[in-house]
Amino acid sequence: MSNLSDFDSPKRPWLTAFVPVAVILLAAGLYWAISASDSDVDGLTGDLPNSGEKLLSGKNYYTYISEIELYPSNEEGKPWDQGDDGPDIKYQIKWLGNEVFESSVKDDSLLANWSGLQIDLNWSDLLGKTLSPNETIQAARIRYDALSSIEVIVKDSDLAKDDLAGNLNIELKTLRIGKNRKDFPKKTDNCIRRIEITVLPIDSTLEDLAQFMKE
Amino acid sequence: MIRLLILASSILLGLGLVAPTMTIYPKAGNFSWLVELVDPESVLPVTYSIVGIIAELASINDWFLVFVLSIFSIFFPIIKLYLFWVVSFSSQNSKLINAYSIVSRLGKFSMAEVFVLSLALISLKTLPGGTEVNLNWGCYVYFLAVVLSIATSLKINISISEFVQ
Repeated sequence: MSNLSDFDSPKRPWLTAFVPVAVILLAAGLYWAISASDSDVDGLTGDLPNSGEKLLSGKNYYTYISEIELYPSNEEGKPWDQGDDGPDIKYQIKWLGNEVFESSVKDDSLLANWSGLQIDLNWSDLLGKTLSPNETIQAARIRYDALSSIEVIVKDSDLAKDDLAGNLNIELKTLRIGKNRKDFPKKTDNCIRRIEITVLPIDSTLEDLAQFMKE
Repeated sequence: MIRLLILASSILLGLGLVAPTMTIYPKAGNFSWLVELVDPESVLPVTYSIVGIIAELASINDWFLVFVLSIFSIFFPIIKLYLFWVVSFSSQNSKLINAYSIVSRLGKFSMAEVFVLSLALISLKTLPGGTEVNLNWGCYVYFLAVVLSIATSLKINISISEFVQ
């Protein structure tokens, strides 16, 4: 420039002009290296589900059965339904003597699953329907007390009369946050081989609830 | 002075290209909570740098935008600084007139990259469902690099004008 003399000018200005390009690449590379090492540290401290934690007294929880497996025959040792059809499984949860939740029916299955999330939409809902998380989360709401329990009543749903598959009394103190597997022997009054009870804190974030319920 | 400006602009440009430029907070209107339940990952905030935006566009094969953004956001500013640096050494010789014309032409396109970024932001700001786009510090660093580049261009123009007179 005008404040420079020809003496100051480099012999190959086109070559030295790569200085700003090198500076640009250096600045970008330096930032990239620093931010990459930061994200590695962040990755070690991600939020993990608090699965396996004890329930806290006085706190409210979503409780639902995520899986039920029945023995192949009913209480009388006979097939569940007439013909080769399997049982149509549904369950109810009673807490403090009151029915607080009833599940949907899973047709023709010895092994039934519920995700805890369910949306029932009709054609008329296309005109406008308001949904709330309470409607969508299909679970019983209970408050933990170490001395109380819930009653899980599993039935084979029939048009005429539901057949009882088993009636289980689950003490709340035996439950933990997340999935709780319980196995039962076949008896004259029990045809439930296994149930999986999922317990989630009501004040969980939607993301945590969804993560648990999707599993 | 001119070379200091070029170096400062280069550092800021390098940072501005890879630093977080914008964060998108996806929303699905009244059903946001539902989407959070069913597919929580799809509503997580996403932060992009300018290079990240271009890489994202390349991954979805939007080559036109990749081309436009690459030219105006990356290559054009770099070439401009490269030429400025050359011009800063081309004093009092026959190359001055050529350099002067190049710098003058480049000056007209100084705000092109800002214009492209603004367009991208405006289009994202109008996303439905309440989706928000927030600018991050990388955007300001990039703009500062552009401003310094413009200042360099003006300084070079003044110096050349003085020499021609």
